Amino acid sequence: MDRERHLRIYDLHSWSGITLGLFVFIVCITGCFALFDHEIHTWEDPAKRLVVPEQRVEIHDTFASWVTANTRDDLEFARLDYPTSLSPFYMGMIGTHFDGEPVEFIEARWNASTGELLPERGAGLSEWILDFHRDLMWPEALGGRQVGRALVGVAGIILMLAIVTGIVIHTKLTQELFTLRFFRSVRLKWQDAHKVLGLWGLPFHAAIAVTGAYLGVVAILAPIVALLSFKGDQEALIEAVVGKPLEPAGIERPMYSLDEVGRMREPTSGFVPMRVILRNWGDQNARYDVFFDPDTELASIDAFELNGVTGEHIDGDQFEVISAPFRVGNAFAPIHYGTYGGISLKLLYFVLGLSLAIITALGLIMWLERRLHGNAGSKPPATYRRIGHIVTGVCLGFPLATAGIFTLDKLYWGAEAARLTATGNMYFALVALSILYAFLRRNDYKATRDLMGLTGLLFACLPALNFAKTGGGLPDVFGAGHTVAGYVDVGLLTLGVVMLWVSRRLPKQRSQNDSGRKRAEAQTEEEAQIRQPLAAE
Amino acid sequence: MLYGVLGFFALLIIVSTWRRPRLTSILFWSLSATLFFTAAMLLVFPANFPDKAITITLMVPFIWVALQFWVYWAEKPQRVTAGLIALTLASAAIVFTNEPMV
Repeated sequence: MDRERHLRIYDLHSWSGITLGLFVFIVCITGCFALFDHEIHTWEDPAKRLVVPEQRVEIHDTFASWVTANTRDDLEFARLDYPTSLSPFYMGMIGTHFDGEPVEFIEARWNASTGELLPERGAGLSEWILDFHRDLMWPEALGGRQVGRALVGVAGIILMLAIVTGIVIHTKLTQELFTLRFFRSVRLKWQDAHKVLGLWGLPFHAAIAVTGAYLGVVAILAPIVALLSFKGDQEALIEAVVGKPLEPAGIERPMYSLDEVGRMREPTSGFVPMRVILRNWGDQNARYDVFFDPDTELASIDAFELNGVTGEHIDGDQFEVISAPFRVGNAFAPIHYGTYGGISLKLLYFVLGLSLAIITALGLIMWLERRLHGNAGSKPPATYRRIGHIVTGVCLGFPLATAGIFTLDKLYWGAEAARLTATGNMYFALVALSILYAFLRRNDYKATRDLMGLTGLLFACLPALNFAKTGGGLPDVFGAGHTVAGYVDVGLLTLGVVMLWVSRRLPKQRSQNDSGRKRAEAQTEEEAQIRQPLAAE
Repeated sequence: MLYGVLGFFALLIIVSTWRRPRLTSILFWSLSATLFFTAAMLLVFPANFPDKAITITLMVPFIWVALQFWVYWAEKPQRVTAGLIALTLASAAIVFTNEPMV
């Protein structure tokens, strides 16, 4: 590859990271916590910390009455989730609407031992954590969640581009895999860490970028393709892909027992159903789509279709023959969220996801370092210092905000309906305060130490706060009852202690040795390799 | 009002394509080429529609990133910009001249 081309690709890698690196960082760091959405959901609400009974209560009649009581003019679908160790209760959901009005989604949960309706808390922590990663909780006034989802997809595209350009510009990949010079200048340390983390985590980072881009880009693509190929009829596009749904016959019939469905087994794996989606409920043409945990396949669905009146299998249903493209498409969500393995896989995803966020942050810091203490850049140092404060505030602000909303979840005293709004306000307020603090501190090294220490302290105190407010959590790990919330506490405590330890080991200012060396290492090695011969020419 | 906004946007694209071909290509032309090319493929490729739709959607991130990469890989910026505009126009011609699917 000629040097000019190498330099162009290097600049593309650098500028894509600089202009949108913070956005990619935010998506990565929120994604790390979004992996544990189900675990956090049971942690946040003490009423959901239950044990799945060996003999669970019959639910059909309770569910059927609830659906009837809550249906508006039209019922789009109903869904029942059976109890699992992660969600140890029945969960019902319907999509219903009044004529001419948008669909509204209603949920309810029942105790699996007694069948009692569980008290509902307002949406808050777990919903914010998952949805902020998926669609940035994008407001309706600015186009709604679909716009947010598309933007997150763009982050995946940027990440893919950064990965491809990063591979192309680093010509000594094998050597860089094993180079980590801890006792040289701070810049070399960051540079080596950026490369080592990037190269060792490459397969994971590439998989996350591709699947994330796909999951987000679908949101942009579907309306545009519909506009171009289907005269703007998005429903026609969906019908062309998934087939025309069976219309109700208009004849009322009693429904097949959902408890019988719950006792069925998947023919190959022998697993019990985890979810059933009901279409045309109460009608002669009712259909049950019964979903199981995937067994050995990397797919988000392992399912069959039943006649909702008789309970008979539908021959040749939509799940019987899944073509290769659908199989690949179905595998993307499990790959992205790490749901095809156990908790250890999710923990591995957390560590690798964190490394991706760190790589992005290191890239930004290296870019600033070259401009503040090297020969690169044409703006006054004050400009780069201001950018440095913003980078510090954002990179430390989002973890702090996450710790903050965990704390708020246990200390919240307002109306349940306003819980999600309060969570969002707290989240953005803490990010804004972190940026402000970085500006007021005027020393990014100290600001990083302080903010990381505070975040670690909050995470480390959460198990105690959880125990004080709910009487459960960490001690449950050693008992025979519900343990998920306890393990969340173990995770939070570990994260807090690690962050506190790291924050104490960070330097308070730029090393004096680094100032002495700055001339000698004014440019990073690969930049020097590319730029110097060009300058000589 | 709408025509005014669209006219201003078109003018902005023309001027920026002239002044900064690589930047405009990576930000705008690579996306437009990807979207029109995808829609055109959906119309002309002979295959079962659902499989074709999913396959093409799976390919979108790769096509978009490949075009973005090509913008900076190519020696002459005008050539890559012309290529992307040609791809957009050819795909748009297929989309608008073929019978809609409904």
